Parts: sequence; C-alpha cells; structure tokens
Amino acid sequence: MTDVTLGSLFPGKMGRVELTRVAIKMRRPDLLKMKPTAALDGKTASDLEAAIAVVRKG
Amino acid sequence: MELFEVAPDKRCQRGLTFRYYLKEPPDDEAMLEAFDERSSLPMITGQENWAGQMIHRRILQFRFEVRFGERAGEITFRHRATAQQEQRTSDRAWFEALLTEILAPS
Amino acid sequence: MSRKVAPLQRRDHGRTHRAQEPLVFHCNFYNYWLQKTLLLDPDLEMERVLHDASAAAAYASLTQSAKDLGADSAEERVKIAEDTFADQGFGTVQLSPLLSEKRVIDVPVSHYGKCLSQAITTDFGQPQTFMDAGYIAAAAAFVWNHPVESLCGKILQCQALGAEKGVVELVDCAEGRDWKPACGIGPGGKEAPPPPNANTNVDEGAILQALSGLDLAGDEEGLLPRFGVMLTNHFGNFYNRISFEFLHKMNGTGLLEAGEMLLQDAGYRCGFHTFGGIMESAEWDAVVKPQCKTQEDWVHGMVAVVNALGWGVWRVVELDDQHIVMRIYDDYESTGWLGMYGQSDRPVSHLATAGVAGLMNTIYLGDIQSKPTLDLDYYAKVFEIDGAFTAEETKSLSMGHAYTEIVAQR
Repeated sequence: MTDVTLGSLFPGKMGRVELTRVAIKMRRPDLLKMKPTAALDGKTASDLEAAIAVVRKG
Repeated sequence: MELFEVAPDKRCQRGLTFRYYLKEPPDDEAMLEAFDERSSLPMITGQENWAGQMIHRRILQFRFEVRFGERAGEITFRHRATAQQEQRTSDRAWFEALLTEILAPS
Repeated sequence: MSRKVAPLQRRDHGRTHRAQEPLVFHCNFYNYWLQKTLLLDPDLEMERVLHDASAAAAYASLTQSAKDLGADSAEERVKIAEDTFADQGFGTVQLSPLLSEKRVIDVPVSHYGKCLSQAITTDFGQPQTFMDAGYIAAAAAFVWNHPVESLCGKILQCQALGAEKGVVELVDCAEGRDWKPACGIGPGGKEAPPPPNANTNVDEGAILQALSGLDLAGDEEGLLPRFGVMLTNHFGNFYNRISFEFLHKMNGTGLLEAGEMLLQDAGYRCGFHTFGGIMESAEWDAVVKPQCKTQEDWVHGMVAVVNALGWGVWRVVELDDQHIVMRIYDDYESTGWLGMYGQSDRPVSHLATAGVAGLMNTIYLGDIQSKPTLDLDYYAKVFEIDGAFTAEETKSLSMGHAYTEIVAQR
C-alpha cells in the first residue's frame, strides 16, 4: 500500500467533484463509497493519477 | 497628464474587451459628437435603452464595437472574435489616438 | 441588423419560443461544464447524442420557421438557417454550398469552437463542436428536403483544437439510427404563477421592461457577448435531450447520482459565472442595483433577471440569510422531461437546483456586491466555504406536482 489516500488526491469539496468525474470516467462507483482516509494500493493510486490528468484537460 | 486609463476585462472576454476610464470626461453628448466627427471609418450606429439610460454603440463590423454610456466616465471597447491580433492592435491604437485627440486640453 | 428568422415569442410562464421550439439563455461556462461532463466516458458515445439533439431541435425550428415566414425556395432556406445560427449566438455558418449540393461546410466563427476555452486554463483534447455539426446536418436536410435522420455532420476541423475555422462534412448516416425528434413546447403546468414576492424593494415588472431594451441577438459574427460571458439563446430541447440521455446511460451503473451531481455542478458554475457576471455588469448597475437596499433585494433582483432568460417563472416564497424556498413554474427541465419521457420518478431540474444554491452562495458568501474577480480561484474559495448553501428539489413538475420547488439552506 502507498501513503496516498483518496482524500489526498481529491481534497475538499472541489476534490469530491473531481473524484465524481474520475469515477464516471473509470466507471468505478466504488470509488465514491471509499473512505477518504484509506490508503490506496499502488495500481489504484497510479490509475487515479492518470485519470485526473485526463479529466483536467479541456 | 494621463487622459485615461485602460484595463482589459479579466474575465471571460479577456483579450476581447477593454474598459477605458476617462480622467475628465466630457458630457455624453459632446463625447459622442466628437467621436463621430473624427471617425472616418464606416461605423454602424446603434442604441440600447436601459430603463432610460441610453447606451450608444458604434460598430465597425467584424472589427470592433465601442460602447458609450454604460457607466459614467467609462467607454467599452470590444474587439470582434474574428479580428486577427494585428488588426486588434492597430484598431485599439486608432481608438486611443482618437480618444487622446478628443480629450486633450485645447 | 435585419435577419431572416422567425420572431421570438414570449409565452406564458416565462418561456420563450421561436417557431415552437423553446429557447433558453445559457453561457459558455455552462455549455463547457455540461459538455465536459457528458464527454467523460467515450464509451457512452455522447458525441452522437450531442449531434442528434442539436439536429433534432434545429430541424424542428427551421422547418417551422420556413412555414411561419412563408419561405419555400432553397435560397430562402439557406438564409433562414444561417441567420438563425447567428441570431441565437452560435456563430457564423456558411451554408451556400448546399445550393450546389456540396457537402463541406465552413464555420468561420463558432461559440462552441471559440468560446468554451474561456472557461478553462488548459487545452482541449478533442473537438467541441458537435452542436454545430448536428445543426449543419439539420440545415442540409431542411434545404434539400431530405429526412433529417439521413444526414450527419462529421467534424473535419474545430477551432477548439486550434483550427482557423470549423469545417463540417455531411455524410449519409448509418442505418438503424436511433432517431428521436424534438418534443417542441412540451406540456406545462396548469397552475398559474403567483405575482412576484412583494416583500422586496425590487420591481420585477420594471426590470423585465428595462431588459427588453437590451439587444440579445448575436452580433454580426453571430456571437453574443453580454454580462462578461458569451451567451447563447439555445434550444431548450437540446439541453434536455443531452442531459437526460446521459442520465439514462448512467442508470443501472451505480453512477446515476454521480451523473446528477455533475449536472448540478455545471448548473452551479452557471450560477456563479452568469449570475455573478450579471450582478457585476453595467446593466445591473443601471437597471437593478438602484432598487436594492438589502442582500435579499439582490436575490429578488437576480430572480427578476432569471425570469427574462426563458427558464420558466421563478418565485421566491421564503427568503432570509439562512434559507430560500423557490418555486418555479414550467421550469424548462421538467417540461422537457415530460415532453420526452412522460412523468418522472425522481427530480430532474438539476440546473435550477444548483442555480438556486449558486445564487445564494454568490450573494451571501461570495460578497458579490464588492465585485470580486469571478475566476477559478475565487470560485474554488467560495465553493469550499464551510456552511455554504446546498439545495434540494423538494417538488418537481416532472413528477406530477403543480410546480417545481427548490429549498436551499446553510
């Protein structure tokens, strides 16, 4: 496990909106039920970071 | 003495809209008359009535629009989206030269 | 400016129509954030939905316009289609090639091509002009007297990706296309809206009268710069089709509520940028602000302006600095849902719900009276405030209630 959490990748209310975009993009409704403080495994963390980069494009 | 200050619109229309704040503005009618006298470009005129406040528009199609009367002492200069950067620079320079001529103490 | 377009008609309950197609004003910020949401998952194929929703609404509008204007010739139809595109703020489209059956159409100016970028700080990764492509397909069907579902517009160039102009090619569409015509005006509520709330210094009638003096048609380029944003006087049926088809695709995936939340996010951003832009505009200073003595007056004033946008009739029922109860008569989202799908089993007015929350936050937390710069940083700052207003749709016309009711509180 990494020390990356959902909360660290998606901070605050703006982060929650961005997580929702990522969840739709990745078709992962489970992401919206995960605890923000739970540590993420390496693959999930890296998949999420990649999805964030795509979602932040126009 | 600076006759006016200019500020670009920082929001959505950044790059398109500029606001001119006149230091000692003449009255609206005099300003408009002076502008129309000096502008030799084929401008289209228009008006809007905001609950009795008249906004006077001078439009050079596909290049820019000048709006008088939106706020006291202010003039809005708005490029059209299709105007190329070089044209925009030259049009605003033309406008500022005209404004300087109108506002310069006689 | 003289254009060959069917006249705009103000109907009951705050609705605006052109050739029996409902029109609603929305800005480039809403258009960007809504489309961004819809395009998140490429497997949903929402590009086709965007295209077809545009084609359906445009085709309905153009064919009825021709009847209303008594226009029969192909030349007249080209003019109607070009002028309607420009008048409604979509840009400039050059359709004369249709007269010689050519299939490549230029779009020298496009709202979707040029104006969405003002809502973001990065580049686009894909074309954005699906609405233009659908409109052009509809225009071709209209001019050529072809069935509208037989043609599609394929984007060859897009200004959002840096092209100097948009270019769309007309292609024959694949068979088996799931075509849905626009639903027109749609059923409305039976209950008449009450008069505006009297507990304010604001005179809504006077404000609406003053706003009727504004030129809210596209300029000679077909763009509509106003209130610091770029407006479109858009097809209500376009917005409804794309939003609701997206939700239908989310249904059953465990992501329906997520989809609804993002539709509301787009509405919230609209509330911030459009409402905020209006409240910082010279038009507001001239027409509305002189009547405002309290923060509550600002709410009433903004609601008066909303009632000019074609969204339905908004009425403030209760208001203080902690909560608002808003009732909306014939909100365009509900009438659209009813027209397309019949009664709903859950609320559908996501734009309105978020718009109410956005309005309250902009006024009571965003200190709009001091005219802050309405940029992304400021948006984030207001959005993150603890104790911000959140809104809920407690009644919905789409679910069979007499009106739509939204309650926002903090």
